[in-house]
Amino acid sequence: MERETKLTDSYCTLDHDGCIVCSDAGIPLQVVSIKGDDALCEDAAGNRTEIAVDLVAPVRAGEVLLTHGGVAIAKVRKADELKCC
Amino acid sequence: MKYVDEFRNAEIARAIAAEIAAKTDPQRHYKLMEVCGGHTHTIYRHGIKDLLPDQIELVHGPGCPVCVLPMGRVDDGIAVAERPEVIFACFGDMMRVPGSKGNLLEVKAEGADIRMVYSPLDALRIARENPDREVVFYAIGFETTAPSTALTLQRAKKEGLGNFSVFCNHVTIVPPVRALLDSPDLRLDAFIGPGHVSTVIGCRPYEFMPEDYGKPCVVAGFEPLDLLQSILMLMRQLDEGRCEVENQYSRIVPWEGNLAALKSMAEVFELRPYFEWRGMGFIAQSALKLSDAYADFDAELRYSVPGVRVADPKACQCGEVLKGVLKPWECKVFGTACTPEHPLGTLMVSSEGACAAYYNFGRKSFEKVEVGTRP
Repeated sequence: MERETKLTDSYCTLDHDGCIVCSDAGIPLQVVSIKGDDALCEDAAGNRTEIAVDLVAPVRAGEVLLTHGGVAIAKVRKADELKCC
Repeated sequence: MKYVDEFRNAEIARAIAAEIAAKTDPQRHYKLMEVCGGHTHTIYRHGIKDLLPDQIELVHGPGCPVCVLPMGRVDDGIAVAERPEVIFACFGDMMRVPGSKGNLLEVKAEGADIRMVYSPLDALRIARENPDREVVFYAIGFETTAPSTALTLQRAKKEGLGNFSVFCNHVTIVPPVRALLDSPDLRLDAFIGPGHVSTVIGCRPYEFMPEDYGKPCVVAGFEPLDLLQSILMLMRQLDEGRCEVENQYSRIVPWEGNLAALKSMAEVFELRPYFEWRGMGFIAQSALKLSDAYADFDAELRYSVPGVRVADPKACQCGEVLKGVLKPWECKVFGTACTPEHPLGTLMVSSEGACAAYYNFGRKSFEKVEVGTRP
């Protein structure tokens, strides 16, 4: 079954193509749900992880965030345009 | 694929390439530096160089945090990791970066408790789960990852976690670029600015490039068309005699940066008076250390480290490649003694390193340049 996500065609995912030497790769993730200062986020491949969203608060489910090292550092203003780390 | 096609569309790429060619003076040689290692990766992976006129040379900059880390700081990390009470947390391939007497992977094989994490927040969780152990996070990175370390330390302080500390190696992007511009080794015409660093610091910090040095800068995204468009924007500036900072990556980079992230960093970090960069020597105010308010979490104060300056192996020419003086394949040990499987220098470890990127994606097209014939 096809997932409904804005990131279906995204190039960079949590388990693909990130530079794990320093985690210095921007990965676009879509917010699934929010719990305090963290948000459960999903990448284009369906991998899910918790991301700290303090630095881009407030966030809403469905928004797309640029994350570095487990922390969101920016919101993607036009979600569908960001496809790469 | 709809949106990927838009940023990788071959027809549009050829159209932009044609426009770049039209703006290129055949009598002139252009040196454009891509500051960020992520851009280096994209250039090699997608063969951007092949679309550009011969007159345009792309010079790889110092924007890969692992690559610029001097060997002495790796040794310092290993010294902390070897302590029996310590759980040492670091990002994955950092374990393969060679120190003077081996790497963290070898120390782990000998019994040290070294754990790979994807985020400093993972290290904080390990500290919570192991209250009887000391957890040290080996922090590296530019302004992209510094906010994650800052946020982690703020949470650690709020929770009062006494068994967590950070060995801080965060660096900043502007001072090394300024050092390069001051260097007599290199004559650069313009800069492709780092996209994701700029989401944090914004575009204003690059204004010294046009104002003090007369060099244009375009902050760029990481897709192939992002880079081509950025190169075109630079060529237009050079052609029209303009010199300014432009933002190609406006879909994600705000001109002012991320103020919350900057505030968090300002609370947790302060500038070091100087810091050593691999191949570039000591650069003033180019790195971060923990502020006095967070001194209790500073691993450098908590543990004694050798703190010795270690020279790179003689055969290793990472420094020259980092400064853009040599191309990766011009290094004496590129692809022979130094490969991604057995790296001699840091540029071959990181996927953002120029040598690893070139080894993996660019080897078919490289031209051997004889010593003394390079322009």
